[in-house]
Amino acid sequence: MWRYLAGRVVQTVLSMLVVVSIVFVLTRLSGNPVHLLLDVNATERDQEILTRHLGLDRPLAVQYGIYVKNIALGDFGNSILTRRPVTEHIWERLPATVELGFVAMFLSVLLGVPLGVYSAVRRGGALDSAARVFAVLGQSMPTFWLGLMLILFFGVVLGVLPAGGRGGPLHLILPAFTLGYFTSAAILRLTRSAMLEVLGSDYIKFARLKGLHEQIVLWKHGLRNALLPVVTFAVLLFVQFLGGAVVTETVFAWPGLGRLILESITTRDYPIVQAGVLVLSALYLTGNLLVDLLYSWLNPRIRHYAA
Amino acid sequence: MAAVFAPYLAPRSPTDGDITKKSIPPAWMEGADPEHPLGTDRFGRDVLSRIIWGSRISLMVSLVAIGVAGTLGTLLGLVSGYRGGLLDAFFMRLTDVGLSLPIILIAVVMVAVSEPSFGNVILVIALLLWPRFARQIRGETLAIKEQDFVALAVVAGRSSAWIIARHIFPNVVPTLLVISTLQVGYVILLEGTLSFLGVGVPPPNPAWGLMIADGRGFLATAWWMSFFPGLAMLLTVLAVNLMGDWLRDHLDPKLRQAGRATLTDSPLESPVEPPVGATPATPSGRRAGL
Amino acid sequence: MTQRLFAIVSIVLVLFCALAVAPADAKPEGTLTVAVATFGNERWLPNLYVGAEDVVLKPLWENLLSRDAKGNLTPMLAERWEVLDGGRTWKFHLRKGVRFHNGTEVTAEDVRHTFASIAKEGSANSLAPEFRQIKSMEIEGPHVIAVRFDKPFVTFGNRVTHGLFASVAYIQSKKHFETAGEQGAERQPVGTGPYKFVEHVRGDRIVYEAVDNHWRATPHYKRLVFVKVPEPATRMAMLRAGSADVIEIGGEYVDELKKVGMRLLTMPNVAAVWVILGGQWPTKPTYDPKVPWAQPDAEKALKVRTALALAIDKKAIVDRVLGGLGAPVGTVNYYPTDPWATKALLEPIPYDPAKAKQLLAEAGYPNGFEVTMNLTAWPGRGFLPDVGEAVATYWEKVGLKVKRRPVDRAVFAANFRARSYPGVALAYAGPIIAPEPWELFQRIARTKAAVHLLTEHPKLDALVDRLGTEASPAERARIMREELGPWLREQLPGIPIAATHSIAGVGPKVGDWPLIPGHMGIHNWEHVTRK
Repeated sequence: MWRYLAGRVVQTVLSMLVVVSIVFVLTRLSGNPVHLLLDVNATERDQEILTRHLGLDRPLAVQYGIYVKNIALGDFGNSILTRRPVTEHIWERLPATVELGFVAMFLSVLLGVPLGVYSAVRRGGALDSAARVFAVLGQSMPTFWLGLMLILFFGVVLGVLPAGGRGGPLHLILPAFTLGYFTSAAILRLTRSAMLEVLGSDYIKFARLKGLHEQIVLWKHGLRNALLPVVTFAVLLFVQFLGGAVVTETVFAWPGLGRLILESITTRDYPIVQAGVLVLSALYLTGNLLVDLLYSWLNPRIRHYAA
Repeated sequence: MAAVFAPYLAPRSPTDGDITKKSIPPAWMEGADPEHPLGTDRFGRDVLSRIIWGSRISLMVSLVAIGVAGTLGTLLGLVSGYRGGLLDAFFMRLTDVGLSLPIILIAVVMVAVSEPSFGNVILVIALLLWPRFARQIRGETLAIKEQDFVALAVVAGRSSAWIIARHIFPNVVPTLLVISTLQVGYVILLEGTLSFLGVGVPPPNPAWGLMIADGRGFLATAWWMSFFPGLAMLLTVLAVNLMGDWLRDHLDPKLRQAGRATLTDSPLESPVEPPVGATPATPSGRRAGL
Repeated sequence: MTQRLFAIVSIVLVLFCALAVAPADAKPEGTLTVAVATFGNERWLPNLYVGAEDVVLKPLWENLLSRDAKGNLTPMLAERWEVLDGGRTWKFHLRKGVRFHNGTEVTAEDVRHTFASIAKEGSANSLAPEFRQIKSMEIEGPHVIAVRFDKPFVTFGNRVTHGLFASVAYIQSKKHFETAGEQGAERQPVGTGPYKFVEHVRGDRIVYEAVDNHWRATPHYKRLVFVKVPEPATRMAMLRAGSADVIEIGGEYVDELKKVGMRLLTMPNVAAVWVILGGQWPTKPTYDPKVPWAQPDAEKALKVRTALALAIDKKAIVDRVLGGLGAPVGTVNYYPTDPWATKALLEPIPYDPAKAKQLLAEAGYPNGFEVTMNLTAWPGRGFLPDVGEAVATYWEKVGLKVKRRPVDRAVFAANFRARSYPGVALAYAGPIIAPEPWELFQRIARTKAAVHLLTEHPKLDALVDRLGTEASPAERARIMREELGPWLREQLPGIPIAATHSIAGVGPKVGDWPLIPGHMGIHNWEHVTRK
């Protein structure tokens, strides 16, 4: 067990190093931020001064070395544009991002799980089909389109929900739904198939034989056992929402992490892009690692395959 | 169908515009021009023709991207699943890395690095999709490897490559088909999202996502500019998704078993955003191997 | 015009310049919510302004000078100024008794501190290159400062005026900086403007509150809130839903705004649209003699450029792509409102595809040639790719093969710095950085300029140099009217399309307010009236 754990941790760290390198190469390829920072009338000298100031005049290999060393020490550097520490930038966006991600995940589960359970119970029936069409519909239009339509309908036509920006709980409803609807189909299918598996098991047959009420069998014995993959999925979903909500954040003027990174790409603010992508990847890899460990703890047989 | 016969079906050229004929409404509305049944866009281009030609572009982008990603992913998945050991660990961690990258943001960076073009959009999407295939196929391979006929082949002294090609690959084809079908819708949407962020298929190509993104700000004055391509996209994605579901339920007996269905399911669902990685691929993939 | 120079501007003019309809009646009340596309850098230190934040910073700060309803420089924090030594020295006499929001009085020390921090090494301020030309600054009294240059800087006044976009030489309090430190100045910025700082949530909102009894203009609204909303369709929705009162929006939305019953605020003639023809840099190593419009045979090259100009229906572009906001013009970077723009210079180049084809044939291109059209959007000028697309379509109609290339602004910014886009065309909108057209050419069209967006030509170099050292505004106007304009019109280094207006969307709660001509970007927040 400990060997497995150590192995996985080392692997995760190595994965992160790969991510760091990929991000470094990508951002360095994407053009010189100095050109964007300088006004059109800046002279060659201005350009040199700024390049040196930003440390972009050194050889790439040296820049890379410094970069990796600093990250290892927890220093992500300063934003090129605002000259503020990158960590500050990321920290101040996290609350909005976590808030939206959490509520979206919650909505997604709220929509997906009950529909999935019913869909499994009424397998092949009208409700099954209806639930699946509802879920697939959410995946059949671009997020930005769904978001804009929701804004127009609830914000402009009905005037019951705010059209954009971050504020009270009301501001959360539309963006969280936009984000959550999309993934609820995944939760639905996952719940459905997990339920089908559980319902077919001896354990449930036994419970039924004992004469337990069908609703109790379904919700207590059935769902509880089907929930593990769903919960796992929801956790990873949440991690992904933290940075993956770029479009939703843009449409709803939500000051989140995804938009920060997106805007930093446009302005070639390398340090923010690098740190942002790295943080998101690290969160995912860590989440993945935890889920793996959890599974191996629950099911010792896995270790053989993972080694 | 429309995609193949676009040159014959489309009444007009998709890129030929005349700005004096801009924003003409569809045929049944006041001020319409019978030459443009679904109206014109902001540059006076025929919306119907653009949708028909657009089906070609949207489908081509998804087919090529899925083809590339599928080939790469399947290859890695097969080798990784069959060989196991260090190679497997290496490939799977690489897949982890691929899945962990925030897909949309990386796409934006990659397109910003080069410049928006057909090839780049396809390349970006393919690079982001392959881990999904690798994960799935590896899981399948692990299961198939345990079967008796594989063991027999090994005893018979067949080479690994021969076994993979003759015994394992044919058995993962149904899964591959299902994954690929379900990815078509995803890629069409991804193309739209990239267009929204300004890094999609370059204009004046009539890609659906681009058309929707272009018209999104003009719903009061020219709703048809984005509504009809939106409808086309909705119906297409709905159709391929339902077809994928159907395929999974009917074509592949193995996948019908509930536990197995889980693993094919989840990665496919990953929405345009959150990225592909939003899947319990690791745990359920592992389960499949048992 | 003489008051711009040697001007000792009278107190009368000071009063006149407060173009406010004096808000004598009421105390500030209510909240004005404004949805903008960007907050720029979101920093409050003068060396970190990149220019884009002009719209959201202007309520807080003030400049030395401003511009009036006719476009003439007027006093603001400086009550009068002198231009000496043929433009080598600018002496500003500050108004006495103006106080920062922390209570300290504005003095010459504050001006020197501000200018020095804009110019310091590593400064990202968009005015830094020009402020680095300052040789020395002498404080001649608590309220008098002389700014000296090696070479004449005849339009330095335009760099320190409140009346132009991206005029970010806002006067900062030196005292505040010393007592609160950089961090403190950043967290609680202190200016002299009609609004004082309340709160800033990065990426989300900036909140201001009105200064009661401001020395210049007390605002009508008690609170002024800027929210950052990058997606234009969302800004439209917010305006319609009433969650924003004023929104930044591109000209392409003009019909949409009218249709949904919202009002327009028009900032007339704030951008000159032209088509850049890359490659006209004969002295540089990246020069490519095969580019048809830049070939060594000057006569043929001119025929090609003329043909390209004749092929475009400028009027249709203004009406259809620019939403009717503006008018076609015939000379690059000349506006209908400019005192130096004659009727002949403004007359658009006719739309004549037949003549265009004929000229192309005469120049040796009967079957046209291949050209790349970059589709690049500049912030606040989202219509440019649309213009480029329209131009490409017109060129195709006279036989050219046009390849569209959507290029990110960062990529193109590097291209124009390196002069590495021969044979490439793109639609461009010259920002109004100054009222006089040569001030832009000095940056982008001289052989010595760091970047290139028009042409390199000894004649143009000579004209710009002369204008740059000519201290008399009247003489400069004459040169622009009689020499520079006709040369541009005849040589067509770029293809003039139009002078265009920019707009803002205005909701039902808000009344009208006066604007400064030529000021791109929404401004004069203190004058926005309540309905």
